[in-house]
Amino acid sequence: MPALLFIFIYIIYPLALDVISSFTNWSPTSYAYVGLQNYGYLFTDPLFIQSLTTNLIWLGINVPASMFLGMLFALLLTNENAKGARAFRTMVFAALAIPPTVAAFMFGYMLFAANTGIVNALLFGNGLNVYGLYWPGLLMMVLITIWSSTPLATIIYMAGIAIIPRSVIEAASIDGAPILTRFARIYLPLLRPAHIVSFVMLSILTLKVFDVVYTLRAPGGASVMLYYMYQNLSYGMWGYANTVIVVISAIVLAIAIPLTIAMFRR
Amino acid sequence: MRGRTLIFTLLAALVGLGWLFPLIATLLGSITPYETAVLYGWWGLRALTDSNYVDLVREGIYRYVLNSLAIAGASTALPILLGMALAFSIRRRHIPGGDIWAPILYVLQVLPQQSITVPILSLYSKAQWIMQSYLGVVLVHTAFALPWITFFFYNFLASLPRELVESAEIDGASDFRLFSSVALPVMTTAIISVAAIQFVFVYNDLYFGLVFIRNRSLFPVTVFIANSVSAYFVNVALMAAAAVVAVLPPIIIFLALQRYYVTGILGGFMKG
Repeated sequence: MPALLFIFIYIIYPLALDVISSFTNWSPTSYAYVGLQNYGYLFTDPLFIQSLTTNLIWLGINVPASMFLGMLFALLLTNENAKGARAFRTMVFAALAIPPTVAAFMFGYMLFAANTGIVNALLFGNGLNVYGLYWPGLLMMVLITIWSSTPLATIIYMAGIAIIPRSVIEAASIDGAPILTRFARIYLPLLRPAHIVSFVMLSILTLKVFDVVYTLRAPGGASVMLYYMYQNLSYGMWGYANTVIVVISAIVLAIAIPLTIAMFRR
Repeated sequence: MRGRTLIFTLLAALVGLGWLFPLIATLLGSITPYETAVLYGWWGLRALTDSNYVDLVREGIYRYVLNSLAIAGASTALPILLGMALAFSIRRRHIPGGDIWAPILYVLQVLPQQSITVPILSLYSKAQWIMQSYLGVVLVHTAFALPWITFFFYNFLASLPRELVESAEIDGASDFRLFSSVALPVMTTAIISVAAIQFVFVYNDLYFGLVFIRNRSLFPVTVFIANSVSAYFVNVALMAAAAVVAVLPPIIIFLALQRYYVTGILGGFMKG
């Protein structure tokens, strides 16, 4: 089977070698076992700690924000009172088809850079230093991912809304329950599967951000783990780069595996 | 009730246009000369021009879009063919393990692209020519996509009516016939969904192009844009034009195949 051979050479073998070589000083010119030295260095390197923290802050803002907006948009764009919802839906979903690199340029230069960005000019009088300060830089990047991951959450929530039995919704509207009550009593609990799926998916996506950080060159020093890994890779520190990969993969798998088990058990 | 219709429609319009705004901004920026954009902002809408696009053609930037299209085309066709064969073989029990494969494939698809870099880089460094062509990056994309594409087709095959398969077996159909005349005709939707998603994913990808192509003239457009944007001097107007041209292929595919794209996203991440 050529497909299996492919998976073996390009995925299984690399993954195994990642774990093994994370205990070595592997570089283009050396390969020797160094024990836990890489891990020890990793967790004492302030640059890595800062990248990890940035990842966690990013996760803490992007996931709830995109879930909330996604749910809101899904409810709005499936509401029969909204005329032309199909066209507006397409406008939101279009963000999914735009390369993150291009999105980074759009937000970074057309919206937020001093002088050429409309948001910076109109809201901050060109005084917002998005490329020099940590928080403005990070929040700008978080905004980019909110923009690109909300459509994904919207799709998941729309699928969730579609499987709520019509009779339940009709019964509630006959009762004349106000919108907020209907939302809290019916949609919020019945959308539980959609909450779980979008939480897991968005968390994994957020932990894997790289393109935006690379394109904007970690504005204000806001780096993430995968960017830290890439920098070490380009210095030729292959073993150490794999140490970072093992840590990231462990975090991602810790989030993904419980969902996988739950999903395949039924 | 008319009031409610008005409010909901306005809200939906606000959301739609708001989400499209970065693209509109870039479009307007791309028809503003660089000096005007820096002095007055692109929203001044002064001295509109097509000179940025002329410069784009003169500097041959379209070449990077062609590179992206070539890489994405090959990296879509190859894993679809291999993934279909693999999914079918697992279903028909030609590969031992059966249903154990589904969760394994599912878990593999969540790993970051970066996790397969170093070992493959060290393999490739023994045959440098592979990074001087599209081949190296196409093979990496193909392998990386196989888990999710196989999982998708495997799921889809499970939804085929059992009677259909059984009656074909009773008629003594070979595996190849079972695949080509029973499975394939009903798989069109699944294939289009996978193709739309994979093509857009590869076209939009930055990382594999960045690491596995060592020949500047073969760079995909995302690598070109990322490297130009992160330079010291950024010609915002020219890059806006480049951005507009770069997003055209994925946007066109998305608009044409939106329905397939959305079902594909759901099918790739959820089971059956």
